[in-house]
Amino acid sequence: MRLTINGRERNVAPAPLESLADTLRDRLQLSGTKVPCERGECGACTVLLDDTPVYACLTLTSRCQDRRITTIEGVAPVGELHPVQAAFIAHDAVQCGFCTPGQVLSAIALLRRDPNPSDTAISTAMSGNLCRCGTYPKISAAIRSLASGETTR
Amino acid sequence: MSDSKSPPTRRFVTTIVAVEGREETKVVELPERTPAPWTDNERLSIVGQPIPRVDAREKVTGRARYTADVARPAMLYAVVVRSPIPAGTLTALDVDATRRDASVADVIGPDDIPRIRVNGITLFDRNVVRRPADRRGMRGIPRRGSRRGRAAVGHDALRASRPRRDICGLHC
Repeated sequence: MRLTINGRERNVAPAPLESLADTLRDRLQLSGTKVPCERGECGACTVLLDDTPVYACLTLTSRCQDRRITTIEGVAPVGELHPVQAAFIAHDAVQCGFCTPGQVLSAIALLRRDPNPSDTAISTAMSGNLCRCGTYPKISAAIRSLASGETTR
Repeated sequence: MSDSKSPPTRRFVTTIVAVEGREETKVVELPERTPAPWTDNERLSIVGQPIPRVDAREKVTGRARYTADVARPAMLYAVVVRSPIPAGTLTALDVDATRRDASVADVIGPDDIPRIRVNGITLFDRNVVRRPADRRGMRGIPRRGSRRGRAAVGHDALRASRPRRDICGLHC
């Protein structure tokens, strides 16, 4: 089947019940998508399906035909940073970094549908992404900085 | 600089620093005098200053490579088999069925562990193998369900007086 990943068409032959996370990591070597829990609890495997954040570990690859998949590798051109990535660095919203790709994608999806989110909207939108290091205040600050137009670089 | 007539006595300390398995001996010269303690209004150039996280960029771009991201040719996956009951003492282990499973490359048990050495060091700590005589320390956590892999390993929870094998073994 054909998948559109980060704007590029890829041909893959997934097993019938293969998860999108496994396809990305094991077949396409896109290991920026992390799989800590593999059961939809932690959100680290979050990718965008069209513009919607989904858990790649609970998404069947076979259902992704004709959908646009965006992983952390595809949010910005190589060598550049998406503003959300730059904001995460500027606000030190990264510790061990294992949840970070998923956090970034959820934040991107939020800001696309709501460019000026309230604190409540940020909390709600990010509630599906756990951070074991507890960087939540800094993640919120990073997102808030983009909503308010604060310089991030 | 010192104005005293005799040259100041230089003092050194030797310290050993271990970095990623290498040990380096460092000789550090002590300051001539003990620095004065900081005052409340001290202007500090290092303490309290933010330091950019050196790996932040790699992490936000997904390029940071974690152990789970390593893929090697013919790489095998290991499954740790733990006790299904708290503080369990395993007294017998039958891994024959597991070994016969075509998808299982090998089973590593307590007898193998002392032989697994890297640079002369046994890799595993004492908690890997708990003999009945050593019941202090770790407590197991009950496991629900089964994980990957399918072979069942014989589990004899009865305490034998002289067990030949006694790691915790169960369903994997």
